[in-house]
Amino acid sequence: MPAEQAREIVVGTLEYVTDLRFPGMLHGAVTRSAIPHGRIVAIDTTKAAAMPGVRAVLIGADVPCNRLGPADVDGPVLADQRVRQVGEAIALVAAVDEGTARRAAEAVVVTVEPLPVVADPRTALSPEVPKLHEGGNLAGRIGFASGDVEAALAAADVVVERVVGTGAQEHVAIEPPGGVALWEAGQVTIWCGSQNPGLHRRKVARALNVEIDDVRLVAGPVGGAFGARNDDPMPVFLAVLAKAAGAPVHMRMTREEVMAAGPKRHPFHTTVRVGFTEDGDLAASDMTALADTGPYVTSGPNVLKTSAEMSVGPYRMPVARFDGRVVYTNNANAGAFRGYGVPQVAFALETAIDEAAARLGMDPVELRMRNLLRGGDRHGLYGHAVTPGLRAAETLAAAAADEWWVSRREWQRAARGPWRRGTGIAMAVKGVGLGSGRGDAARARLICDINGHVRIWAGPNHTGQAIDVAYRQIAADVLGMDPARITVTVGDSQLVPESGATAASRSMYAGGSAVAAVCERYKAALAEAGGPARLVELGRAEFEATFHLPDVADPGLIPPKRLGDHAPHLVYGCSAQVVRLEVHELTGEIRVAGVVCAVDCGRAINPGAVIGQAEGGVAQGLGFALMEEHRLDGGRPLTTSLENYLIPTARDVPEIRTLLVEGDEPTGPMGAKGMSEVVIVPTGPAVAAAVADAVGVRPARLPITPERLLEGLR
Amino acid sequence: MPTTGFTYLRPLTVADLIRDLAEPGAFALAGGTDLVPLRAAGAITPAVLVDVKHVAELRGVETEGDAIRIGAATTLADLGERDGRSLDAILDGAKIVGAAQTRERATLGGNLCRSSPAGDTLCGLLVLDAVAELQSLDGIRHVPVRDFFTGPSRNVKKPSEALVSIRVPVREGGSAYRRFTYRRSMDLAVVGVAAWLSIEDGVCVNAAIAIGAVAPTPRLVPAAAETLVGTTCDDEAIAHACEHVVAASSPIDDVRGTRDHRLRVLRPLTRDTLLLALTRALGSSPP
Repeated sequence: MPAEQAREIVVGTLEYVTDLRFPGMLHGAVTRSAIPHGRIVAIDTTKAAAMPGVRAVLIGADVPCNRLGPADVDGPVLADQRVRQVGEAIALVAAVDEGTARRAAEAVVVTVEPLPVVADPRTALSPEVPKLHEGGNLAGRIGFASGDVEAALAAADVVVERVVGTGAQEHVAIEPPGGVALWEAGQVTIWCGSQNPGLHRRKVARALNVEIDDVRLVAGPVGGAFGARNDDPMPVFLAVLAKAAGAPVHMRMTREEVMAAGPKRHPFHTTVRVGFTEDGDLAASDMTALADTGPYVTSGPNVLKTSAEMSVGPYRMPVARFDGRVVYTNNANAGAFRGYGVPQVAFALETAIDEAAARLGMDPVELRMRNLLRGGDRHGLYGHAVTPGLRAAETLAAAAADEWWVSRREWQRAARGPWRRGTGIAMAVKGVGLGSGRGDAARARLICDINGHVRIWAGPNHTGQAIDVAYRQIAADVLGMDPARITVTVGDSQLVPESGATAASRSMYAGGSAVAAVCERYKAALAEAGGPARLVELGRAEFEATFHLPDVADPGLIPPKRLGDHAPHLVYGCSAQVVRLEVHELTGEIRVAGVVCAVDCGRAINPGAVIGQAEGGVAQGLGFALMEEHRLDGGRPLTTSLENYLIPTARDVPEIRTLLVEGDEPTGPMGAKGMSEVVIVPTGPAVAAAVADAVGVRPARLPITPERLLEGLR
Repeated sequence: MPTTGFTYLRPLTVADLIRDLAEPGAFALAGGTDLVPLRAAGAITPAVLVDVKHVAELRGVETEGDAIRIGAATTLADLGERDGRSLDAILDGAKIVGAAQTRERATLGGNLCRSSPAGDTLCGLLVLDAVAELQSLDGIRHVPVRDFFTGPSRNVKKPSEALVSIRVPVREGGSAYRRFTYRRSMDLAVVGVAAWLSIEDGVCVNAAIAIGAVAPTPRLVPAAAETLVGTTCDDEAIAHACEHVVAASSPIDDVRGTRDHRLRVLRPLTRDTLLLALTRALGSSPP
């Protein structure tokens, strides 16, 4: 089934939230910090407020509760004492048109006394470095060892050590954040894209000091998210301005604002040591990771939690250790991003395994195959039992059976001139849902009418992946009905029961399960009552169901009290990818010729949507691997627009062969599970392995720019 | 952020065009692919926008005697569809500027007047010895493109002058333009090289080489071209030419690329460009 509104999206007629117009609507703009770190001495709004057409100018003191979260480290709505990042919001302006609002925002005079900039995460914890928050620059730490790693590594026949780094990636959703808010009779309605309407309602309610029920968020349609619309302050800005201005307020960020102030993927410095026996059995892994979260906490510690769990990949690991820190700096604030801490650690682990294969003289597929977790096996770090639905070996086998892997030596031999050719393979695993001990749940509501037409309100929200269509397909299947007689609504907090975030690969799994559950309830009632008309007559035509994501039954080595601190998953999905490419040995150019993406997705409810997610994940993974990096110099952004922050174009993305390795996830709806994140993970290490195959040098940093590649070759 | 409005004028004749451009604060608007974003960013504040696209003399490509005359407002898409062997180095550039949508609007004259060190058609104009026709109320002057650029985004054209046409002499030989970018489309040249070679009986009798994005302006490297004259453009001669090209360049470090990398790329890129121009000069189909 095609996406709802597929035609409107493609031809450009879909009305997005920033297309909404209201009578008397004002336009908002943000005054932002021009420097990475400083003490605010004074903010003078007189000139801005006096400009014709300006209706409101707000600073931090005007926000009832000037906080974006429960703690100081969540950051203020509007910086009032210190600025900690270029682009940080300091004042909000509402005016009769956008041009006036932006000019007034620029006319706000902010006097800042510059403070020393914390630019290097590697020294952020040194005592001589200024503290960005009262508690210091450590935003989070997670450490775990399943045994004596040093002894296991000492006993290993081969130990590979890799010191690697990955860059800050920008989400580049096509739609920059924006929307409209309306304050009326003590209640605020906000039309603004969100991956987490519930969280945004709480943020707005806190900032305005109102009850959560007085905040309605209509969170769509959204022009892409990829994690960026999780921590986004835009709904708060809109609500605060609408209340102060007493009129509807419209706002949209420019791409330049997104580049400076929007969240990024956490850049990591990662060191890994992996030990093997001479037969190629994994003996141990030891990983140390340092993540830069920028000035505020946002998702930092949670991202690191996922890094820790996925640091051992989809492998049996007799002994493993992970030690990770996430630190504050004056760099771009990092937040949630598709893959959520996994691409960074997988790059370390997978390239180490690739190097080990070379040193052991083994085929990289065979080496992985003999160490892969099978469904029901115990996790390599935490020792809990994973879902029997895991199909890691089948996924790797599917990728390795592709002609592009099989014929890799022919591909290499056909290289001509300065273009060298190589092929690489890599593997990844990612948990589905927030993990055990987090109380993760999704809900669905269903109403039938006398004719049997069914309306369903469900979450998580649709942010571009057409999850609402999948909900409709699940409902049609459970109810044995024509999907045309089922309506599904997502994203409106007034109608949809709280269902958590469109994140953590949970929407299909959690939202789909809630939909299936509410449909089962309706079906049973229908059978009992004898028809929809009778249910309406009895006043029993409305149903609600909650799906609680299952925790691990046996937490393995994790003390039960600390389950939520590590949040191990029961359900995982895998992806294995093959990349074939060419490297110009004189200029360092890399041309990717093809990618095979095998994905362990459980049952593919909507195969078209699954393939779309796989192809999008690979394209974004190629950007991360080859060109995308938000660069700063002393906290000042160098990549300021899409002219200098490059993402792959259609011509940079090769043919992608998506192989759906279907299976049956016993806890998922119709056997489905999440897959949209794991597909971005293997691309980077597979590209690196292909580069090593082509030119004999294994890249240590992503993105593999031509400069870095040639420096490695010299 | 634009703070002021502007007057929009749409002359239909060259006479009206040069009169309109004489107004204070007038800017010529061709495709607008640079002007519109520059204005939006507040880098320029035109008081009068003179739309040059509706003047017939500024459109189209014609042979006039021993030259090809290209109207300054001819779009890159229009140029890219042409098959003019004597324009190859210009057309190579015209075909890769921006995306298809950009090329439908962007013009050759606009690319020249913008005078970006990285402009993709400019090295081609240099090696093909193009001449710009500038008109104003003071009269007409013809400026060879090799004398046109004075610095990054700066040139000899006065604000009151209209670039009406660009004339390219029809000559024997083959030409080419190649560039290095970090992605395969919609990118700006990090390094660009154009070459023109005239070959008689297998020997190079005349040559020109120009480099882009590695100096304050696109520029010819006469010393490199001279080393090729009298040779068969064999590997050794090309290697010599490459050395001269590198010696003539003065790339900088910026967000788009490092000086070191530009220098590394320049040599193989010059070689590739020369080989393509040679193939075209010899009349065989390009690889």
